[in-house]
Amino acid sequence: MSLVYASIQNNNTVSVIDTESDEIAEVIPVGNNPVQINVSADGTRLFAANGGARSISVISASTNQVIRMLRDVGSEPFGCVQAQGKLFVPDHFSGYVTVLNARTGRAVQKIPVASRLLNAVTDTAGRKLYVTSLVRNIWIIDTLRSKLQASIPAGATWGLAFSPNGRRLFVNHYVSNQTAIYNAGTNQLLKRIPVGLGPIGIALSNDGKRAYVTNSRSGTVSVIQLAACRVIKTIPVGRLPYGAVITRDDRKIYVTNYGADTISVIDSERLHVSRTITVGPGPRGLVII
Amino acid sequence: MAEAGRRTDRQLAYVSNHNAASLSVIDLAAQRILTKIPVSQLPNAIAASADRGRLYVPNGGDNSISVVSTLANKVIHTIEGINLEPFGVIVSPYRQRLYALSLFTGTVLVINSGTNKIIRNIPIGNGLTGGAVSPDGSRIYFTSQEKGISVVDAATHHIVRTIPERDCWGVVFSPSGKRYYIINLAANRISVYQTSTNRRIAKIPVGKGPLGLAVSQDGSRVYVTNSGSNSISVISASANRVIHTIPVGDTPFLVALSPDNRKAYVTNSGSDTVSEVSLRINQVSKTIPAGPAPRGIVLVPVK
Repeated sequence: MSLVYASIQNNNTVSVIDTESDEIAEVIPVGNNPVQINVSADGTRLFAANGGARSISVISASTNQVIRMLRDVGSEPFGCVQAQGKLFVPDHFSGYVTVLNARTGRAVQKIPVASRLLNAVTDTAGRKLYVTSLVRNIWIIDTLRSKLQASIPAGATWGLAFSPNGRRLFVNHYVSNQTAIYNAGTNQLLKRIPVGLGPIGIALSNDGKRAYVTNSRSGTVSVIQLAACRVIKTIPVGRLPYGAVITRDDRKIYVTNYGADTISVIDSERLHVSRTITVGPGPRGLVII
Repeated sequence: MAEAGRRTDRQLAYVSNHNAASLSVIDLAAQRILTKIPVSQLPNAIAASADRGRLYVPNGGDNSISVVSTLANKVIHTIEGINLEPFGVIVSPYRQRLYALSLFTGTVLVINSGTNKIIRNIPIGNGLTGGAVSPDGSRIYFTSQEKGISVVDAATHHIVRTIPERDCWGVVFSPSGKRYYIINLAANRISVYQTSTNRRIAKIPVGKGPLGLAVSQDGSRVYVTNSGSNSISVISASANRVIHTIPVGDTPFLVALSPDNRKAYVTNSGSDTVSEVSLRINQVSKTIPAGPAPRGIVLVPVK
């Protein structure tokens, strides 16, 4: 059984969707205005970044209960990624990534990075944390030393994901309306694929063949065939599509429509919306476990 | 005995609390909160009518704008159906117009402030973050990362000119209208433009993460909040350079100036305070509790 956890920003909850029935299995109350959900490396914990509460709600994946509330996480936390026994929390406005001890939940350090930080993911080894920014660049943090290590030059960047084999990094360039592909080892830019307006979220199929990109201003999802590096279909979804995740068998893609109260379910074979699930106001970040 | 005509320098600060869906009304002389006005979720920068009788609060978590009466200290109307996550409203002192900026849709909603109805939509571009009405009321300048500076005719709402500059995040005019100041967030800098030619005439490095900007009423000084340096920069407009850098609280957001230009008030969104900065001695003279997460600030004279 696979579950999608979606942060519902404007009613302070997380909706849990059963991917077999595509129905809401549970609603978990969290702190004010959760903007993003991340899952721990071992899959036992979920972290809801409460952008309106300066806190992180820690959810147990086995009970779906909030077991802990982390505070002092920065003035507008935008995510929470676990690596090397630490939690890395990008702060949207202060320019820092706050580092917490994952066991004690206490903030131990602040790494100066850049203003308007957005999404963060680690590479497959968990050695490096890649953080995007509405202002510019992709920022790379050495997670062992908790230090900024490098940056990849770019304009505004938003959603990002590693290919299943870890060798390619996909990043949405929000202002230039492109999905860019980088060599994850060398940071070299390999390709830029034009997508719709204001690309935010990205989900990569587990078989390595496709990428699904949410075009927030167009209200669509671009389906990219990676062998040819081109968009093979553009699927209309709801208003302001934000995040995207894909099931392990690559058959369904879930997209939060931040401007509607819904999640679109896309059938990857037919490449159309097979179902629209009504959730709450402002569905935003999501994960699948 | 009648007190009509007696002036007061006493100001109230109306501060939006991003994390509490409210405005705090702060008596600055007494350093205390007089009242809190509930608005809606995630209120951001506040705009005021010219006479300060009305405040317009964009609610990022509610897709609405709260219209607040400063006489009654309450919300008198909520404008619904605003595009996603409004974080800025610009008031035009002419033609009864408001302009609501939406980052996510990249469009400006034009609102008739007499009827509070949305009358029109102006698409600008990706990363729409700022706007200002020229002092003569003829043009509205909008800044977006995609297009740079988009100049809109205030009567027709057509885009009459696009100046393709990079890294444009906010715009404020000098009181005379002869210059405008653009925030370059990536470069940590303010760019100065001459309005008649739309040419950049100066680049002024400031602190990290400049977010807010205000110009003194006589045009001689420009104040910038440096969110990543926990300071404000004081710029001499004639010399086009920073003459003071003043430490304030954590993650300073926006700045408002007292009408006599003796004080600047800065919302410290990370430390839940407002810093009162004495502009005579260029240091913080008071730290007033506010928030949680104070962002927008408008000064209104005590009646």
